[in-house]
Amino acid sequence: MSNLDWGRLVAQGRAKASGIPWSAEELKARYELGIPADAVRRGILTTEDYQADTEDSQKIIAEGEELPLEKLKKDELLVKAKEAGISVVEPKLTTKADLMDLIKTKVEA
Amino acid sequence: MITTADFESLTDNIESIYNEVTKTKLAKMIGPTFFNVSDTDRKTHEHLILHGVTGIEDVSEGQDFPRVTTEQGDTITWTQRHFGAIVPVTKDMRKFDLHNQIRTVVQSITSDSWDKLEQDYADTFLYGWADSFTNVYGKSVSSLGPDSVCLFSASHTTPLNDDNFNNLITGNPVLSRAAIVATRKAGLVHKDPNGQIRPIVLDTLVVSPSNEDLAYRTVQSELISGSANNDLNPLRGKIKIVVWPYLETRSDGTDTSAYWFMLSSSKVKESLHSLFAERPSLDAPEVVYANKDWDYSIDYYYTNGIGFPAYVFGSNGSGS
Repeated sequence: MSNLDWGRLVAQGRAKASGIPWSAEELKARYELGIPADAVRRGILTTEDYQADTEDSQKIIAEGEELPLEKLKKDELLVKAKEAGISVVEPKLTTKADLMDLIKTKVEA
Repeated sequence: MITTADFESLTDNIESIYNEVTKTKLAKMIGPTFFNVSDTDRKTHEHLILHGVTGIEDVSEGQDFPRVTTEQGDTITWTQRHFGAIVPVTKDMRKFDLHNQIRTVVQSITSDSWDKLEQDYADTFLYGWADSFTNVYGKSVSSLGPDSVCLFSASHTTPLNDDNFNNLITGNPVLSRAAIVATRKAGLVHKDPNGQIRPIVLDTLVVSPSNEDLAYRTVQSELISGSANNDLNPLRGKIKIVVWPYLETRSDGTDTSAYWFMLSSSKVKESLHSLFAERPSLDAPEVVYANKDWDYSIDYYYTNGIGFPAYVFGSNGSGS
C-alpha cells in the first residue's frame, strides 16, 4: 500500500486533486498541449477551448467585472478569503475547492 | 496415531517440508531479481527521490569547489500489509496417521504464499497502465508512482519542471525487432530533469512464455530474420531474455501474454521496491490440544512500491 505527497503534487499542477491523478486525456492536455493545471481542472482539454476560455476572461476583465471564483488562481483566492474575513493559517494545506466553498458561503451569508 | 508426544517430531517434519518447498520456489522466482527486496522495522517507510543533483563546474586554480545543489524530489510512503494462513493438522489426520495429507496441506499452502508473492510482483508490471487494481490477495491497491502517474506512462513528471519523460513503449506495440530497437534508443538518450543525458541501458527483455520463441528469434539470431544474408543482428549479445511465466495471465484472469518489458538490470531496483517487515515463515501452534486441530501458520508482512520509474519500460501489445 502506498501514499503520495498529494498536497505537493496538486500545488505543482501534477495531480488533479488530493487522491485523484490526472486521467489520460488530462495528461495529454497538461503536457502535450501545455494547458495550465487550473484550466484542465475546469474541464478544458483542447487548445481551442483554452483559447476561448482565455478570451472570455480577458473580456470580463476589459468590461471591469470580476472573474468568477473558478477562474481565479489560488493566490487570488487567498486574497479574496482574507477580504471575506476567513483566516487561512496554512495556505499550503488549503485547496482551491475549499477556498471557493468558504468564500461562496461567506458571501451568501 | 499422532499424539501430543509426537508434536515436536511432527513440527520438525512440517518445517522440513516448508523449507523444502520454499527452497525450490525461491530458486525459480523472477520477481525478486527485478525488485529491490529489503527488510524494514517500520510499518510505514517514506521513500524520497532526489532529482537533479548537479554542480560540477570548471574550477579555476585556487577557487573553492562549488557546492552541489539538490532539488527535493517526490516522496512516497509504503505501508506494510500482513498476510497469513492457517496450516491445519486436523484431528483426523493425526488419529489416522494421514502423513500424506499433512504433507500435501503444508506443501500446498507454502506454495500458495510464494506463488502469490510472485504474482504480486508480476502484477506490478501487468497493472502498470492502471491507477489502481485488485491485487492477488483481493485488496484494491494503488499502482501510482511518486509522481501520481501509473508505472508506464508517457507523462512522468518531476518537481523540477514541466518536462516529462516517457517509459511507455511508444504505441504499445506487439513485440518486434523495430520496437526493441526504438526502446533501446529511447533509454540511451534519456535526459534527467536538468536536461543532462543520463543513458539508461535497457539490457533485459522480459516476456511471457507466449512470446519466448519470438523473443529468442528476434534477439538471439545471428542474422536478421527475413533480411539479406549479410544483414547482421546487432541486438545479439546486448539483450538478456527473461521468460516470466507469471506474465502470461494477470491475477484477475486477463490474458496478458502479449505484454513485454525492457529494463536496465543495473538500475531497475531503483524503480521497483519490495520491503519486508517479516519474511514468510512457518510457526507452530503455541498451545496444542489433544483433541483439536493443530493450527500451524504461515505469515509475512511486506509491501511493494514504485520508486523512480525510468528504469523499466513496458508495452501491453495493444497497439494503441
